[in-house]
Amino acid sequence: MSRRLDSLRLRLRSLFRRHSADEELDEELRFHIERQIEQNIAAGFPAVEAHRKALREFGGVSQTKDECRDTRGFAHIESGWRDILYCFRTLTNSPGFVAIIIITLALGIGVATAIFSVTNAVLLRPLLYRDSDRLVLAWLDFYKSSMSDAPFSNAKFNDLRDGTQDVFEEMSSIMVFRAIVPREGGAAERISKAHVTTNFFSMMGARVALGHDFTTADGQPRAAQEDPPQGDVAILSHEYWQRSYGGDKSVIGRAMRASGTPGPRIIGVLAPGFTLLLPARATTEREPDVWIANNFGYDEAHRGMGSHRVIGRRK
Amino acid sequence: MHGWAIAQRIQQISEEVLKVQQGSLYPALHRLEHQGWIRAKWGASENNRRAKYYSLTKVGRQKLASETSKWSRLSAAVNLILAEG
Repeated sequence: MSRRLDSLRLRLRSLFRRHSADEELDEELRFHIERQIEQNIAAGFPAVEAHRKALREFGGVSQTKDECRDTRGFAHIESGWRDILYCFRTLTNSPGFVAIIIITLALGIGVATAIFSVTNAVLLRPLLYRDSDRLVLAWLDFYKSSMSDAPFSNAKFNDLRDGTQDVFEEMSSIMVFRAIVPREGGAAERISKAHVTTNFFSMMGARVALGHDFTTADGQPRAAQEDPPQGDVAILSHEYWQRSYGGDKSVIGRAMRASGTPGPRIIGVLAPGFTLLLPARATTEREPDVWIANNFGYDEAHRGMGSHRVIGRRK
Repeated sequence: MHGWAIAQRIQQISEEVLKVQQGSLYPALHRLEHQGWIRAKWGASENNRRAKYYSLTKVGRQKLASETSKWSRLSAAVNLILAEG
């Protein structure tokens, strides 16, 4: 009897196609019919008749399967949430596969993001400066000594600016260096100092948030200044003003601390966020702490000593 | 309960009045499951084979209560109309 039953079971199995998504449904319905056959046999029906009767009582097997599949199909449209849960459950069964997918996605997204951020910064986003599409850099190439990309001396910068007024609307020079300045209590502080021509901030469109911008008079060589000499004037970066002066608004007009001679007089504080973007080969600080008005004058004596980077704006 | 037991139970309780084809139970069960009113779990059957067991969820229990009261109101109304007619 039980062998007959087994063969029936096998035949039943062949009745149900084993298809990946339908496997569970097949198994569920198969269980039902087998159970019904058992009951029919228990009720005294011969095996073949019990089988036939069970199928008859069940109704169309493939029709039932279709209907079940339909509810599944509708449910997919009805609730995406269930799909997500289902996905999640399925994925937890194959952690290796999931790990590979995650790594692939992570690398892909990472690379794409990296490339985009570079492209965005270099190619897409305009510079933060006023009329940045008309700004150009100037540098010196010495063919004889095969030295290229050299900075200008003050005298050469003056010559360049005065000789190219028909091409350039404006031109300014920048020299950035490291300086050590004293702090109260005998301590010292390393800061980044920039000497710029007095037109620099207005040319670049930088805003002076406190106090005022440099004036042309601030760029006059000391000898030509009124007596007693006023010395250098400085504009602080917003960050340095916060860091070193605690954002004190009364710093305007005060002299910076310096050793021996009176330090530069503070006349302004920049609005936050101004960065000095020069090509990497210029190796300048991006955010100088203190900006000093260039008052070197023509300075013929140091014509050979180039240390100023030059930015011009085309007409 | 698994599907077969549910079908048996319906037949027993309804005293064979509701003679539906057993197969039509399954699309209904699957629909209820997808609605979230019942939940299915594979387990061992009484004769030690794999069977899919259904049980009511919390939402399903609430739904059952509200649908039951709706049904009794409706059938009471129908009874009234028939009695009056």
